Amino acid sequence: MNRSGMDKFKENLKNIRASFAASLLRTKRPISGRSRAAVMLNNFFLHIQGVRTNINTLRPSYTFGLGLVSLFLLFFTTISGILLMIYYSPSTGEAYNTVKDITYVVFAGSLMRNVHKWAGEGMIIFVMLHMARVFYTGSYSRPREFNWLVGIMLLILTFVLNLSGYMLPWDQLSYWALVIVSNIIQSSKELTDALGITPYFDIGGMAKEFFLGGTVPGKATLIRVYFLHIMLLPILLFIFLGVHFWRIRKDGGLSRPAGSAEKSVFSWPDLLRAETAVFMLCLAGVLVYSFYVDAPLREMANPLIPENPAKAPWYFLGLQEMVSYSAFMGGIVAPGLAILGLALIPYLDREDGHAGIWFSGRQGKITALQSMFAGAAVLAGLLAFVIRFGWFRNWWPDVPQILIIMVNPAGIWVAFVALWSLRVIKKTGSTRMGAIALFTMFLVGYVMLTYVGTELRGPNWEFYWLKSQWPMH
Amino acid sequence: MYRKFYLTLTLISALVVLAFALLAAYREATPEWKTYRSEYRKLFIEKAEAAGKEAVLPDMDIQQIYLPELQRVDRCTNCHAGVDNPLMADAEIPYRQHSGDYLQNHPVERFGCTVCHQGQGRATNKKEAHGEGRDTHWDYPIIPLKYIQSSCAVCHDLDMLERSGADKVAEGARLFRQKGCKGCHKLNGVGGVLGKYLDGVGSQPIAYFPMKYIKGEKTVYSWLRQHFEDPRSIVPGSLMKVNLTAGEADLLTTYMLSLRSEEMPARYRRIRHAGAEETPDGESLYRMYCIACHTTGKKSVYDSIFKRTIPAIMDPAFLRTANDLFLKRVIKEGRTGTPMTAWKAGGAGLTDEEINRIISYITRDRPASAGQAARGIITAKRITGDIPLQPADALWRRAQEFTVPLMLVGQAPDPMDRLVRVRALYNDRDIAFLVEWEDETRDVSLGVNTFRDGVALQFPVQNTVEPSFRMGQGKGRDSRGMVNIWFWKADVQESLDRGGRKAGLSPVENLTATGFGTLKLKEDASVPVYGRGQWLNGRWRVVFRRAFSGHEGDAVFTAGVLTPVSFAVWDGAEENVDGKKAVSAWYYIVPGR
Repeated sequence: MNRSGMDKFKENLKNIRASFAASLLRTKRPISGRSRAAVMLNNFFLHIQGVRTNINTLRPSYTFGLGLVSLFLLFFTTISGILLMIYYSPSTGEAYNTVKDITYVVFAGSLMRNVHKWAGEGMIIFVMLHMARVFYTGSYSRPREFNWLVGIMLLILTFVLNLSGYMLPWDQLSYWALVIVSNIIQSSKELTDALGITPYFDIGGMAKEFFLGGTVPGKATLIRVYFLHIMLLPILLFIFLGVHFWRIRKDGGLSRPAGSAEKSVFSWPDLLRAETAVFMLCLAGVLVYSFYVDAPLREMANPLIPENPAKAPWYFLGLQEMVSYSAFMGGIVAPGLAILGLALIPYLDREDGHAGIWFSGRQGKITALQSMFAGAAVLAGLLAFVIRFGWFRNWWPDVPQILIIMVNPAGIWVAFVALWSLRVIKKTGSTRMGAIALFTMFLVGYVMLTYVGTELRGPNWEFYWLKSQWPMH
Repeated sequence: MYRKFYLTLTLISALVVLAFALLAAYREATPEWKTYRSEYRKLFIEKAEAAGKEAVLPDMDIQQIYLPELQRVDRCTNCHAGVDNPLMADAEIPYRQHSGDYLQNHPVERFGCTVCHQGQGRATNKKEAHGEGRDTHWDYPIIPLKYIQSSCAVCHDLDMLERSGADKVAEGARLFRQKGCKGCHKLNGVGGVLGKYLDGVGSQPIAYFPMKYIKGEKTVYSWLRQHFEDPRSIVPGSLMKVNLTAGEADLLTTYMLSLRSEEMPARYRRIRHAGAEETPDGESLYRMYCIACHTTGKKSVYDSIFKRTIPAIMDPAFLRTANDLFLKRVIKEGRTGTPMTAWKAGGAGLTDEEINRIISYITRDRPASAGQAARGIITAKRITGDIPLQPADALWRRAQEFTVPLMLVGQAPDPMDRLVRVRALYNDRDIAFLVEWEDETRDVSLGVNTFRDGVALQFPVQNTVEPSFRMGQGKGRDSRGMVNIWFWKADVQESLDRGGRKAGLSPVENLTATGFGTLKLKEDASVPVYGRGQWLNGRWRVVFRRAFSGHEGDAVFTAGVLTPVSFAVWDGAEENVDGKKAVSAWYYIVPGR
């Protein structure tokens, strides 16, 4: 028996925790400045963050952790999604049954589905809140313009991922949302129809057919939506996410007020502590919500029984509301201009020196409030007018569609937002104030239109104050 | 930085995560069905001990019956664990053994549960498994036991069911045939078109049924029963007729629920017909397809739902004049503008053979005196040379004489057999009819209290589908139901005879009509109808003559093709005027080749 060999074995056994930690962290215990720096630099997962973190970044009332929340929600959807993928089968005959089985017999399957659903839809809310935080603290200004664009791309991907997931259970909600969404995709047909060129150039119809893999939702649609949901869109999302994070580092970390104390602390442990707190909070929130609220699952998809009203998922109901005025305006022009307007903000507002300050100071707060109230009043008035009196088609049944495409509530709202923002620029002499006006009204529009589409529209897209007033079938 | 804040947040959140992870785990580990299962195991041991037997306990894993052929997964036995355990015969539900000996022939491993009972087999809690309530979002809730026999008929034929205990569904099917439901509803390709198709009605989702006026629980079962009891209270404006006694609504509901669209695999079906399928006799066919509207057919009745009079098709007076060809054409082609359906093979789906059987049933009480006219065809003889306008001309004898029985309208039935005798001639230019009938009196003046004799011929303007033989039907300028009427009047004839013949004047008016009270002179009278009437020895003889081809709105004649024609006679002595007359149903004139 080799005595020294046995000793070595015992000693290795005793030191296994320390040696594993050293191998993992590639450094000694992070207690000194040097080792704290090393631990961040030497770890694959941590090195995307700086060795030191500005104290402004850690201030809860500056970021509210919104970006992190979005990221963690993405983690939860990814993990629960992988679990769901084990049981789910993307065929029209089986999809619904597998979702039922997940709900009824898979251990914690219902919880996983809830987590997946609510974390995913939570992402929409938190990504938008994160965007609002970035916007109102002026964090898009030089040198972070491009990362703002990446962020918009991530927002769009979040929407599309959610939407594609909505289709997969293949129940009545999925099917009729698919019908509505494919009609929104087709909305440029309204313009080509009005111009009479649809027979030669039916771009709307082509887009719809490409999306559905046919003219009506079916087998081909489900498999391509599934492919989008679990493959193409997540890959794109993670690529853009990588770029987003890389740019944060390259652009000098999170924004902060110019001239503020350049005081920083080691990321280990201060930043990691904050991140852990947000992670836990996020997990707790998702878990509690998912414990109590079940993801909806209706009757199996039936092309012969239209849901009335057939609605897109809630986050697209603002769009559907606008599409109800004019498909082309609401489905193509208004969202296109909104995205274009958001994307151009950092390039049209080049004012520096406001970054890191909420609303860039008092004037910004006033502008934001004014824009919010003015926007809400104008939009509410516009909606009330349309609901009470209708639009051109109700007054003159034979009016050419092209006139409605050009003049309709959605278009008027977009024009109002643009004019109001220009007026603010002229009045204040500040492009930043114009940007605040524009963005505030974008948020007001999204929230109000979504509310109207979700809560106030009943069968045949008629107006009702309450769902209980809907005529019963 | 903010060390305390973040640590507190982490700690509180972690506690919440831990608590809810445990709660979730507990909830997952104790599903509703496990409670039932352990209760069942306890009960089983008790009963087995009492019976001195050994209990073979089921394990606590989830159970399911996977039926790939039936495309079902049934997890009902997780709670209904004693379903095939004889020891559980008197246990309480859900542990009780299945009633009767059904499971001997339908072993639960092969049939599962939902194939008969419906409900959501995949679900593992009571509410959703039974699928009760709209909030379960399940289209096929568990079938109430009083309708359960509807499931038997999915695999078994009704003959067999009637003999072996499933009498309710068999009785429902019999009612369905006897109440004339298929007069309006199509099933398996045969039946009227006024009502909804009934194929697959038993597996239609709840969304197909407007639940607004349903009292009590809003299920398809309640809908069917309440709709059978009072259709118009459930579907306002419905045309459906019901004539049911108490309990029959439930039987019909059971039968409706058996009409499922899903076809069982052959291995599961047990359809044994006693013999070759027989075509039902005329009476059964009449009950199946006609009785809902025409009832006994003995009396014409005003129908408050259709808002029109339904003719008495089995009244002997009508049958006298209604020839088989007329009946056949009406049954086959239907009556535009009325609820009467086209029953031909390409329409409501009856075969010619079945229609013939119905006709023989309807006409079984036709008076023998109707004679040869029952065939309904009047052949016009082709001659060369001029056609005489003179009724007494010998040339008329070359045409065959046809008898057309008439029915009286607007007056009490006449014991005498009223009829007209008709001969028809045609040549290259003209077509002419000689109409003779017996009339004791020669009434040639029209005054306050005196009425004239008269005779009219009537032709549909478009003779593809003949309109009502009582002066057509229709609205405005719609010519589909329009008739062309040639009306000879004895008083006009008299005044012409007295004033000497004036060229171009005729005792025959050329008219059109689209129903009662719409009679008017033809606007385009470029093709006049000539005529001449003579009364001799208690008999009127009237000749009508017109150019063979008419103008728009005139009767159309084509060699070898049937043109519907009907006759009306007014007897002045009987105070006949306007609608008070004797008429024939449609007969068919065919210019012979």
